[in-house]
Amino acid sequence: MTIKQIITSKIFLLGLLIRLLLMPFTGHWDIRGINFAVYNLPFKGITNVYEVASTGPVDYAVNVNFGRDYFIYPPLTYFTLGGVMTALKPFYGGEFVNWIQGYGNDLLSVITHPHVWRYLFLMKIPYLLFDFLALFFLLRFFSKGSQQRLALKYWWLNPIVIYLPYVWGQFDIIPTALMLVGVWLGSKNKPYSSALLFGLAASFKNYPLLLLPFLAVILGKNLWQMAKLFFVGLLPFILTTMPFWSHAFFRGTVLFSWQSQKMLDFMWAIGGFDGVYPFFIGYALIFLWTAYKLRGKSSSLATPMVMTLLWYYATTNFHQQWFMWIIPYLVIAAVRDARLRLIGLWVIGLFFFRLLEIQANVTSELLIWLAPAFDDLPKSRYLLSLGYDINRLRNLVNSLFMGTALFLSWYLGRDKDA
Amino acid sequence: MHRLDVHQPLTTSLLHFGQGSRISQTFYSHRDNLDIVSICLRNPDRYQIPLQFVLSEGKQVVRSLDFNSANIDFQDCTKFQFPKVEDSANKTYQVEIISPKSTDPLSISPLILDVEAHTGTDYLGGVASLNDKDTGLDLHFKTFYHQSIQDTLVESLTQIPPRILADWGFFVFWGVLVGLILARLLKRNSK
Repeated sequence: MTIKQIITSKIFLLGLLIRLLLMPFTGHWDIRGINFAVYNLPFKGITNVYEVASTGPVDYAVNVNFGRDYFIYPPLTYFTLGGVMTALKPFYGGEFVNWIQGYGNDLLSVITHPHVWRYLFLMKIPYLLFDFLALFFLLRFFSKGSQQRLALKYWWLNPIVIYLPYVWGQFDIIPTALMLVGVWLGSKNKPYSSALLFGLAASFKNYPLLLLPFLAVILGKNLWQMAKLFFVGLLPFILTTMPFWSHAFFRGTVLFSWQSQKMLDFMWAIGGFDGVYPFFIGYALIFLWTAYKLRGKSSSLATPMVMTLLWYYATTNFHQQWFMWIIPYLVIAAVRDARLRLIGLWVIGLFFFRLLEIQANVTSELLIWLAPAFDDLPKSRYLLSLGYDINRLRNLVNSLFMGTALFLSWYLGRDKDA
Repeated sequence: MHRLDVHQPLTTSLLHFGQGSRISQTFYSHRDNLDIVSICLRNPDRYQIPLQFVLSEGKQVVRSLDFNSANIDFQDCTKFQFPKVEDSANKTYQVEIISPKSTDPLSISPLILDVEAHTGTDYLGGVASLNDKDTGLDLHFKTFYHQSIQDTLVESLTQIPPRILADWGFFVFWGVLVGLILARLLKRNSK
């Protein structure tokens, strides 16, 4: 499909309409928190947000409304979102600075600010750009028109793809789109461009660094080329972060953030004071299987990455927005194999059921911008807890996630050309 | 529904509060029908201490609840719900958590709970005290008032038109965008 065919298709228009209808009225406090870090570049001319986070006063602006947790992303995140914000600055207007800094303990003034719907809409515009980029390259994975139309439907009308950026307000769509472009380039035998895109994606969220060794092993013709590919993949991350390496806050919170090491929370004791990490047991197995079975098979590039991400979700108390990373590859699998479509619905159901029971206030609370009363409704996890023990329920859902991940990994692994 | 009235956000401060102590916060209620005060007690060591929640106006106790710290963990804040105080608007109240002194003769040191607090005293409606001494902080707390669902709906819906008019420029742009896409969709459907 050409760009013109895509943007004039009924599915595209419908998906765009849904996005536009949601963008101004919903959002988690996260989107305001992330943009509290982002606005420093366009509105204050500050290029080192980590300096703001480390030296800012413990007052409303830095600590109360957001905490320093919103300064944990690599610098390209702030420069990219800040770049778009700079371009849209005239539409934000000067009052945006006051809104993003907050009005002391008067949260109601933040929620019901006269321009709040405009701000939410503008803050989500970068997501729309990367969403379209992901869609465009997703369709490139297929040559048949019928498959492309199916992929368009499965991505553009996907409830998870609509929910995470436009309802919640998370920016995981950006690294997801860039990594997808990288996988596509890899499947077209462009290993160095592919590695660069992986590194670029890692410059927004670190997870593609975990997947880079798979790329090197599959696309590298020999050990030397594998090493080169790995280094080329690291290059964008190194270049974009290097200016900040001397900053202690950056080293402590971005390079080695606790969130990027959550997979180490799950450990099996093996005696003495030692243990083993189940995530890395699986990682090693997938890596060795890749080295044994998939070398030179560029069309299988996505397979070990999907398996690793699935294993990550299975063994880590992951943040729900991280599930975005895997969606393009699940869509590709579902388009190629009709038998997976019912399982796709199961995955979507599980995703939204997990949302209902986590602590992150991501159900009715996302509508507070429409009416503050939504924040006063009973929380979904509380309502669930009236019917069943919420801790058991969480464990139950985690177990279902693990089972699903294992099944999908087995399924993809048995078809080495998947 | 329980609607939020006062919210003093969290910072990194903690107050420590042991047996035989009382910790309090005064606040100004803007609405009638005050029925919940939320305070963030923390009990990481899972002590079992009898505690009392007391809401008073001046020296007069308005509501009180007995509870036990065994029901407090280290994640969620505790919502103390009581029969609504119908004429609570524009009045100052004091909320206190009281821990009686231990009667256990073997007890050698007081068991300590934590209470999350807000650095600074920028809440103008009241102050936090520990054993009647000003702490120099505010507690991290919320108060709620009862409102019928019908009143909530009316209040929420009537707020929307003036909010749209307050940013009409954006809504004209957004409306045209949505309208154009909708028109295109309907046109394609009618073919």
